[in-house]
Amino acid sequence: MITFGGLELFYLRMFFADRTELRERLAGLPYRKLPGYPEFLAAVMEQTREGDVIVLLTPHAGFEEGYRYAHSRAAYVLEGRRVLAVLGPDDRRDPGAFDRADVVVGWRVKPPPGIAVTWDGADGFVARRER
Amino acid sequence: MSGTLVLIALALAIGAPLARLATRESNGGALLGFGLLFGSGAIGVLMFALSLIPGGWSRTAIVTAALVLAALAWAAAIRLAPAPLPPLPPLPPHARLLLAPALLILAGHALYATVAPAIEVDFLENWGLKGRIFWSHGAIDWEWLAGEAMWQNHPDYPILLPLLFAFVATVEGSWEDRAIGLLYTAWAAGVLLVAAAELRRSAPRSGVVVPVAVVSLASLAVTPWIGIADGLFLALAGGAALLLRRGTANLDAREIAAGSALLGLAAWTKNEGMTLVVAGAIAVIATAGWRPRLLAGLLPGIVLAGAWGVPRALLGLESDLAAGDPLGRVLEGIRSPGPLLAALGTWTTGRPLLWGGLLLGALVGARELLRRERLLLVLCGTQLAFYLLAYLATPHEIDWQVRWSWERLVSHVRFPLAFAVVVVLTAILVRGGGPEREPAPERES
Repeated sequence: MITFGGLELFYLRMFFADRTELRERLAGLPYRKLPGYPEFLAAVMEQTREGDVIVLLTPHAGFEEGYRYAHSRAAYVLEGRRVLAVLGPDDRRDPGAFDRADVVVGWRVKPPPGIAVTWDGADGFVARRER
Repeated sequence: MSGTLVLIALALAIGAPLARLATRESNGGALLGFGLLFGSGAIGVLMFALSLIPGGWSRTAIVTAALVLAALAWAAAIRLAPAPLPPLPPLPPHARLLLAPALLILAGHALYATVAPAIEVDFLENWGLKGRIFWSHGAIDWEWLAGEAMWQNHPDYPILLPLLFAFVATVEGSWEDRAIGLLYTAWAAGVLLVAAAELRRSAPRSGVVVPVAVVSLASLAVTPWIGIADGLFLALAGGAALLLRRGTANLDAREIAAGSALLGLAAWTKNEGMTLVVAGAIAVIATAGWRPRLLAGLLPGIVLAGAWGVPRALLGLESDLAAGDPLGRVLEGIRSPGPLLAALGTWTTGRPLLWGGLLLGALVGARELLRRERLLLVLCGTQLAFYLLAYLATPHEIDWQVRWSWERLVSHVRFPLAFAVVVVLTAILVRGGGPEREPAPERES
């Protein structure tokens, strides 16, 4: 009972799995709620420099209603950059984040007035702030 | 991939002699197993120390430092190693064949763990993110850790695992989030090798029974959660539990100290390691009584756990469990346990056949289990009690907390609990009696 009850057949099935299909499916899982987001982040990576401090804008109204999801993935993917959040866990906005950022990026939102957009894509924009 | 393989090789190079020094181990498999656990911990602590030196995280610096550490460990092992445990008789060839399913499970796990980049939310938000930030920074980024960027990433969580990820990336020269999965298979293999040696030591004339027991434990040693800390924690906790078990049986302070060191490394891996250090002390006292020389063996774990507590306290990296009035929440939860019981009833850990088998095995071997495996029972029981208290203390909704953590938390103690039942059943099957143990020495060593 212990031997068969503990046996995890899933791992044995891995010998017969289509690894390419599985890899593609698994790699997309962390972004499935934001279609197009990986491509947007790749563009941001290309348009920014190592050491840049970035503030992220998204259309999400609440922290747990999507902003956390988007911000955490951006913070992980944008290697060498710091990604500031404009929305905290208590849903309070942090306007100071704009002042500390070198770059403003937005996913599926319009750029705020008064900033010069340096890259405009289908799903978002990048704007470098003059310091 | 090369960074991951270098980490595994260096962990073995450092850890095997340390294990020989600390555990009296003579079995090759167990030395490899303990070596991976001690060595992984040593490399994490080395990364922590090198982080304090400007430029300390260059590829040349970390590999050279690890090689020097390995040379020192080998020199110390050659000169200072105590008399080894008696060698184990070789397994008969037909019994070795029965180990094939365990090897297949490990190989299948390696395929799964490396098929894609780690995708766990806690990897992206915490363990992996910290490792990536540290690696980009070229050192532990304390300012970031304590800063506002960490409001969602549990800054209080220990950093052994992110330091190992940073080691891999530094050696590799780029961030690696796929090959690191192989580390999880290696740690699982490590604790399984240790358990296999202990099973054989408990029943040397077991023939085919021990290989079947090892197969029973194989799926419990591997973790499906790649990229987060539970896999390493499970292996460290399992190795520690088995060393404390042996130390209390042999009244050997050296083995208890080695087990305690693994507990301390567990405290560097997850916050649950802090309570595991306490649970280990309670289990040693409950099993071997109040023996000051044995209790002194618990110091390495306390010192290691405390060492992580220093920067944590200095930077004010607080756990979300401590928010508000945790004691008040615990007392209220004890008075009204309904929500916790309902959540535990809803979000079970599955595998009814396994748990039924363990329960049945525990009933069959109840007398021997209580007499011989008290350490494992007390250790796991105390740790589970701490987990339940943490659920009562949480400021989050209990149902949510249980849903997303209970199965992982239970996996920490499932391996040593299953080992306790399996080792008793193995002994009963082999000779119809209690486990064969080497007799305790006359005095404490």
